[in-house]
Amino acid sequence: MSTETFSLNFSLSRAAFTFELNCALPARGVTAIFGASGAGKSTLLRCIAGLEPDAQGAIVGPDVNWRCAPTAPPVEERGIGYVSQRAALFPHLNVAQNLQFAIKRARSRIAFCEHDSLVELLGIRALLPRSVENLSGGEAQRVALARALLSQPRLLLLDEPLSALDDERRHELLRYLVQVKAHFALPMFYVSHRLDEVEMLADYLVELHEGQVRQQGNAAEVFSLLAFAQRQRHPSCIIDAHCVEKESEWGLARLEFDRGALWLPNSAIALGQSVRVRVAADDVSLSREAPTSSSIANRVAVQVDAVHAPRDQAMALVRLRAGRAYLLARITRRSLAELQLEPGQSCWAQLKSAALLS
Amino acid sequence: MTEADWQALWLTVKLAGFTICLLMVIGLPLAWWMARSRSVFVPFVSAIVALPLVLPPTVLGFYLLLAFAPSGPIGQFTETLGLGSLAFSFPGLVIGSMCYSLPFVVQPIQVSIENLRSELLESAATLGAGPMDRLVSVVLPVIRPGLITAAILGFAHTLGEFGVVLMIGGNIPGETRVLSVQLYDHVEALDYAQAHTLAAVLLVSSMCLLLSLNILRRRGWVAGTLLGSAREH
Repeated sequence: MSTETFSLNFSLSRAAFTFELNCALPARGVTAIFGASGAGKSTLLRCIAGLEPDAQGAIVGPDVNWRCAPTAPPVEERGIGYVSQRAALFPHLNVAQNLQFAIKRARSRIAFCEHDSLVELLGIRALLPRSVENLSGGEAQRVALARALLSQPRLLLLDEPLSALDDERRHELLRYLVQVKAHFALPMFYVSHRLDEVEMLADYLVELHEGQVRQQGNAAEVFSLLAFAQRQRHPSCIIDAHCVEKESEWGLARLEFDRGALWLPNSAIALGQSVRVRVAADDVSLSREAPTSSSIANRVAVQVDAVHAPRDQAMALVRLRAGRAYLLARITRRSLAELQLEPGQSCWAQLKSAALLS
Repeated sequence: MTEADWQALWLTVKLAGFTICLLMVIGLPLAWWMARSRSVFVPFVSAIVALPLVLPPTVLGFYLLLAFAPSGPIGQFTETLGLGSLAFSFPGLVIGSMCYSLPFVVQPIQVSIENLRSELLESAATLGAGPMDRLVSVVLPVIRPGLITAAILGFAHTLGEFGVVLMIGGNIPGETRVLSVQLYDHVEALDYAQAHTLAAVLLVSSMCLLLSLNILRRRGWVAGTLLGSAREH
């Protein structure tokens, strides 16, 4: 196995649930572990952390060789950062002492994360003297995240850290997670059942279904897979681009990706910045000829990659390719027939809107 | 108070002190096991631990007396060690008091351990804390209210013990004659003035202990009600 990947194989049998997982995941960036509840997402994280005493198997990768019992290294020797749904902060310690708990025990590990700058990054300086019992849910999760990072982990496991929060707090913490991702070269496994969180954070995506891997690959690629997209209520795809031009007169920014570019309102984007854009399949229309005059500014030359058009449905889903980037379009089956779109064919995609994710 | 009264008071405090120290050492692992184990023996052990709550102390004392006798199981053991019989001795009284006060110590600790969220221990482990470290820096501080409750209740309950002492301790000054026995003697001798003093000492000290428990509880330092059955928080 190359040093760039974690190789995982785990199995665990319980009443009415068998968990059997065998896969290789990248040892950097954010790997989202996605799936419905009961798919075994949390179980996977608990196996990795060594919190499932009955599990069999191992995770092997750079700096990591953790087998399950009987030769398992105990949890405390693994160097795992673990944040769960509800922050498990120590109630007898205040916020600062909770962080100290991690710092004191992290001495033997290589330090990459420093207390003062992390406290700034996560905006928890004002919370330090507070008791953990009167923190809000979002505050508690930020403290838990800081504590996990200060233990200088080799791998950060995030088990639905946003699921207990209301929508506003969820987005706030999501932005903090994006910051953490940008700041630390730390591999993270992020468990979630919500597509919007995965869209924003994930570099790599594993979909679990009933204890097994159903789909895995680069996040942008998996999102555009018809087999994956057709199961989502609002199929969409993501494009990683960077800003190459700012048009101050019209307030737009030009975001370039592999074989195309988009114009988006430029308010928050800096020149040269890498951004991630989400395009809903319902917002993409197709035409055979280059559209000339239209209010839709964004059009991309694409090639039809695959088509999913079940006979019993009015709508068809089309996967489009622009170099290494992918787009999805949901159009009626009739339009599909009228345009005579087949895999391999070139056409134009018009994007009614695109949302900036980062 | 006479010299004999003072002697009885000191003996009582000494007995309660020894008893509670030993009970805390035994009670913590026992409570942990009862709270966390899925063993089929847990209900049986729980019932045995709770027995002194409902059993007349004299019954407990009677069986202990039989066990301590030279032909009894504990008696034979202590005889082979050359310690003689535990009956009518201070160590015997300590053992009797431990049986008698066991539920008052184990139950509050058990309740706090049941309320201890296992996520706390898991996150302590992921942060690099080994088993001993987790016990000292997470478990003990978090269940501290239960520990304080257990200590106060166990101590107070041992102070007032009578039936068990009478059966296995008898009435040896400085060795087994505790406050409640001394009080009984005064009443037998129709010496009500002396009896009043001792009764007042027991009443006031028990009252003070329970009062302190309630004050501490309001500040969140101790857990539970008298029997430690209320849940924390």
